[in-house]
Amino acid sequence: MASLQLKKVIKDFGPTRVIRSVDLDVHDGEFVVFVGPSGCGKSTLLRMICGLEDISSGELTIDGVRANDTRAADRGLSMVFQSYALYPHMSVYQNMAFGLENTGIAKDVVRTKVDAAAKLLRLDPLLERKPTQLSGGQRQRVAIGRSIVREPKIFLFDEPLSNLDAELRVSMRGEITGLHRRLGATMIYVTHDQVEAMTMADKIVVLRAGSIEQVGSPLELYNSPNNKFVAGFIGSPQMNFAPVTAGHGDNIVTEYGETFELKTATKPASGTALTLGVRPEHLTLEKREGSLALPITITGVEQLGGHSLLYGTLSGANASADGPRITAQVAGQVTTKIGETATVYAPPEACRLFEASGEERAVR
Amino acid sequence: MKTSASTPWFFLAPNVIVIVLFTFIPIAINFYYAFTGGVNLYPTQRPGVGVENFSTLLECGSYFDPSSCRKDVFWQSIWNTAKYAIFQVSLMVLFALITAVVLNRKIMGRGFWRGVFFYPVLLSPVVVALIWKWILQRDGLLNAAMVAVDAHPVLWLAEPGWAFFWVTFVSIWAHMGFYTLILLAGLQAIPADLYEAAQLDKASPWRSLTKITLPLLMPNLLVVVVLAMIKAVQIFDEVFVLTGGGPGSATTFVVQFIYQTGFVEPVRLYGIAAAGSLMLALALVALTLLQLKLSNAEKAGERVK
Repeated sequence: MASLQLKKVIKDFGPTRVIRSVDLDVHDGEFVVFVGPSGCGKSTLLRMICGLEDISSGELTIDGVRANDTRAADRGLSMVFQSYALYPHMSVYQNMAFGLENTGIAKDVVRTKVDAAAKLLRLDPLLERKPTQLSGGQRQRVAIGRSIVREPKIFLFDEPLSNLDAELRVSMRGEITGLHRRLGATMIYVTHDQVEAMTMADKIVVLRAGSIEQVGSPLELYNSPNNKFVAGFIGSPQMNFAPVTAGHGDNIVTEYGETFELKTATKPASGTALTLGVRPEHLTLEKREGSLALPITITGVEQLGGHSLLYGTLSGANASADGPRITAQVAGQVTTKIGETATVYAPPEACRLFEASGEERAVR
Repeated sequence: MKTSASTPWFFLAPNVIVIVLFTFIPIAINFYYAFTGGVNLYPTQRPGVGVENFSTLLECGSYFDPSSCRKDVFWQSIWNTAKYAIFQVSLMVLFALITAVVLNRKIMGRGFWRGVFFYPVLLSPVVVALIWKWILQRDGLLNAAMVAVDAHPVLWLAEPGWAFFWVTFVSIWAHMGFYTLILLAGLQAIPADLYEAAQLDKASPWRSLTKITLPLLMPNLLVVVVLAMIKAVQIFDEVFVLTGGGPGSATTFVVQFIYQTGFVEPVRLYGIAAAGSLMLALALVALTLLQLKLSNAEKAGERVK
């Protein structure tokens, strides 16, 4: 049971600043997911929390106590590594018992704890095996078991599912969230896969280039992204973006001259360049009153049975051949062919607007 | 495409000729000499003596007492070689292991130190021996330093115990870097995240060393020990230049015995020398088989990693 705070945490590797002043609260029992593209610093941040990397400046507190200078072993955290980092020469039992044996706990207590964890993770028939004799999913469970026996305050996971095949990944996702519910423990989980983030997290932390872009529940991030980066990162297929210009009043003008009314909280000056964002799943092929029409030239069709994906480039009067790419996810099956033109419609309530420059903040 | 059966041999010929000429023919000649006697070099002038050369070498009151043997220097050299191999290999591998573990850490000037420890390996054995001879001889550097601090100079290379010590020491100094390098490569093959996991598992540095590093390094360590053994049994050049096998036969090793019997003594007993070298070869074959067996085990170990 533990909470964790990061206050203005910075990490420099030589002259390179990889973590830029991160503030974050992780509450007791929360499942927090750090998500971002590779190189965004999410793993570094996790390793700083864990104690495997120093904190250049700022403060890390665990249960309200400053832990910057506490050794990794004494922070009471456990980590599941991307590579699992199982000791190859030890059996499953020895792998799980090693951490307890190091603290000089009596042998029968170690046995009880390891057996309990093994039972929880259905590892009991495998205790005498070596890691090489296990499948990927079993190794993953051993790595988790090694964490559990130490009864850590906080569980840390560094991309634990990235070495598994797609099917196993889905089932392990369920196992880890199930474990979180059963243990009620605080967990911090790093992934580059936004699907994992959406399906597992209580709270998602989106990172880019060493800074937090947004913190929130999965649906908060999906429904009201702070900026274009978060909007594009969360959701699959990715949100569509098209350049537009602010017109008079609440109007925006598309590249091909169509004027469309979109209310915004703060009115951008007329002529300001903006980016329109619409998620593929909100686009329809049926025209509805008040919807924005987007004419596209189809470049690809994926029939998935239950729904279909249409890929195209925005066409219309002034659009060039390499205009903005548009993806539409429409219900059912379609007859549209590559090379044809089609019009997809965006309902106004699904349209987002972002600044086209600077931090590309959301204005709607 | 049709290939004539002789085509591969055409391409293999240069190597085959060189190997046959300089390896297989000498081995065959060696066998011939080992089973013939006399002091003549020409094969046709050498009478066959069966296994007499071997029985001469093996004729002994007690193998543990070289002076009771007919060829006392041969047995002295065997015991010297055995003693040397045990001390030199165990100490050298121990120091190489310690050095490798230290050099694998993030210490200041790591590249420099790695270079320092590897540097002696690059020297010719004769140069190594000459450098140390210059340090250890009667009026050498070490004695000069001892005189400077009012200590009595010691005849480092003229007292049997000291001579043996320095022979062992110098060969460790000269060859340790090579084995350090192999062990360093073995250490670097151990994934860093295992140590991070051990750190989180509250393993003390000592426990990390004994429970993680050493078990995972064991295949490399065994190969290093056997390789060093093979080299130790063949010891000759450095010692020959440094002490000449003396004082007496205190630092005479098997290879030197063979060389002196065959090529230095006024009466050159080629038969005895050839028989001795075949017996040495037997020991080397045994060690090589052991090494092959271990490196196969190592490959199996790699799969475990």
